[in-house]
Amino acid sequence: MKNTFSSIIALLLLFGFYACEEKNEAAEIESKLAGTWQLSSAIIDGIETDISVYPDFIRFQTNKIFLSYNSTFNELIRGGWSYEGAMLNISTDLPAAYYVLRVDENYLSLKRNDFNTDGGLIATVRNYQRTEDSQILE
Amino acid sequence: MNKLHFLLSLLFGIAVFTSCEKEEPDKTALISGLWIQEILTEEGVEMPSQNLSLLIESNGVYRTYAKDAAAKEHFGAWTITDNTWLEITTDIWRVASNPLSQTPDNQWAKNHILTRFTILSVSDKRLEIRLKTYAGEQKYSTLFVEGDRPLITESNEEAIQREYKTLKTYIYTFRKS
Repeated sequence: MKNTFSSIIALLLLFGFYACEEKNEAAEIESKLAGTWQLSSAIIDGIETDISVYPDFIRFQTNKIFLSYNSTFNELIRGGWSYEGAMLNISTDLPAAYYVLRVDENYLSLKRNDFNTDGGLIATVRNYQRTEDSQILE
Repeated sequence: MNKLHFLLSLLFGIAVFTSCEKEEPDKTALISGLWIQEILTEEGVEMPSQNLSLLIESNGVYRTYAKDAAAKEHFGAWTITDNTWLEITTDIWRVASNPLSQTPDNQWAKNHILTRFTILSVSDKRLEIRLKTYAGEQKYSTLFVEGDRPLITESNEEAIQREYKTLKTYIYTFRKS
């Protein structure tokens, strides 16, 4: 009998563990995203493209504020960010959202889809390297 | 002890029974992706092609692109309720009251509302959704391709008002790209 109860409790714990797992994964990605990133390359449909057309620094703050900084024009844009449904939403870029292809201590790779003129999709991948917060002049 | 055995057996039986029920596929997971419109029917009759692409993304945002339309792109939010209905936010245009006494810019009024489609079927290849709405709303609003809204005059007012009183059933069929 004791064994039966132990088994039931073990099963309940297992269910609880799986329910929490997805939430924890999102929290982990959010935590890894936090910080300042410098753009290192941009690839459109597999072809490397000029990165000077994009802001060169972005920052995800833990208070869900997003900063985008173009150091050439000293232009700073503020918005909000969230990670929902396995996608990264940046308010300044909505309705397009990003798939986080990779995020770790040093590298961040984001992909977004947009329509081409035939109604198909163009995939843009932007790669970033982690940098100092001081790179963005507020 | 016997009571305990009985309760445990009952719980086990319920668990087995519910696990044997035919499980509906999770439509929220299936519906994400790029869909290309194949057919649109009105009351079962095929309508001209709209060259429509519908991108549904897992963050709850959808985008549409219609290459032949004047306003090519639209977007909004989506949810699936009870694994049955696809609900999307859309811009709905309606005729303003006394349109003939209004300036051309004020003859049409826009509302941002939730529109509910019934999901007839969804798989990894095909999506079929049904909407019952007023013919005028389908024609002039962003469902999903926004039609041109004409200047309302004495000669067309009655016909347009009639379109907003006539309920029709539309079935949109898409294939996964």
